[in-house]
Amino acid sequence: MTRTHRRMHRLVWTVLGIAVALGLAMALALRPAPAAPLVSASLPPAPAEARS
Amino acid sequence: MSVGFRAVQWNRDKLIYDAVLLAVVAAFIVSFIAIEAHLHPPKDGPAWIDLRIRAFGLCAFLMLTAILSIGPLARLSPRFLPLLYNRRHFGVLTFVIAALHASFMVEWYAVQNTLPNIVTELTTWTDYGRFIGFPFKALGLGALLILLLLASTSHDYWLQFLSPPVWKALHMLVYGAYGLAVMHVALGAMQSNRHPAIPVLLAASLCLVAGLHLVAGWRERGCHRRRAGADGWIAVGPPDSIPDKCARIVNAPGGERIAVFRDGDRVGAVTNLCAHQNGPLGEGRIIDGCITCPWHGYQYRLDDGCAPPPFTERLATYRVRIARGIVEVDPRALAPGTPAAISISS
Repeated sequence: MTRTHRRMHRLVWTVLGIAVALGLAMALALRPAPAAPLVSASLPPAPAEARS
Repeated sequence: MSVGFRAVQWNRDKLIYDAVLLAVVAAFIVSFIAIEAHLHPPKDGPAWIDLRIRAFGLCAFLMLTAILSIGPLARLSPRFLPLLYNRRHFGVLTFVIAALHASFMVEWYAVQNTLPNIVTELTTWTDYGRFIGFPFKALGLGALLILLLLASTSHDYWLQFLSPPVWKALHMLVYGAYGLAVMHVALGAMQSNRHPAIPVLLAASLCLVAGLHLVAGWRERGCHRRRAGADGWIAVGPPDSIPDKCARIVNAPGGERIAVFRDGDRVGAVTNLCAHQNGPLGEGRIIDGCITCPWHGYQYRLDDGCAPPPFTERLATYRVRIARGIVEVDPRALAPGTPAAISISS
């Protein structure tokens, strides 16, 4: 690769890498929560040590 | 001199590469469909099409990840150079698999008589202002169009027509296609399917590609730096520090890299850029008396940087000298094809 290509290559993949990582993290964080299962209300309470 | 010289064209190595590639891709798709159909049997026709969509989409994404990993891997270890040899066919096959993925998606709508829904999805302009709910098919379509452009120019005709620097710059669009593909999955399949394998796959792919580029760039950054002397010549090192039939690469201040080769008692310097695709000549070897590019086997004479007849490619050469037992190179390039190699025994 020429010097210009190396510079362009570094710039392109660095900017793109950060943008895509950010996009992926946001897509994961903002993912809509699944519908709560109907049986959840009848589940026994968690053990005390798990709640503390 | 160079009975082994062959221009890049169909040969046994390429056929083997393509056969292995096709076999691996076919095995992956067939296995994916068979396992998924066994675990979650599709209930109807559209469900079967959906299974094909997922199989071809996953395959194309993994192939794209592999393509972007081959470059840095080959820089980190010569063991991966065979993968680089025919990467263009790898890219074309990736486009074919991605295009089949898209065609199955169209088929999925067609069999349910809901084909206009695709147009509606792509032309609901208000959705383009949202993040979650963004028309992810448009991202996939963008990636597919880039892959189409790259696949259709993956031929030596286009390489010569556009010139290697322009062709190389154009083909860096593959990074854009990869980014679009990641977001296509993140805003599409990952939103509707909460299986943890999807985010894990995307994150692993991104970490692999970025990590390999970082490591390869970091290793390359410091190893070729040399300080020029008062007269501008750059010290390379004692002749024995250049492995026989190999090269040491030096950075010309403000210029291109220079590959300083030793072939027995002959030392010569040429530009590090192959005339074919700007491949790193200094990472190649001298075979049959010729500097041989590690990427596609293009060859040049050490003495004058010319390809042996009947080929006409020529490289810029550089003057070399021995001063106080050290090989030095003048970073000012000579005209391509100028004889400049010297004998270190005289």
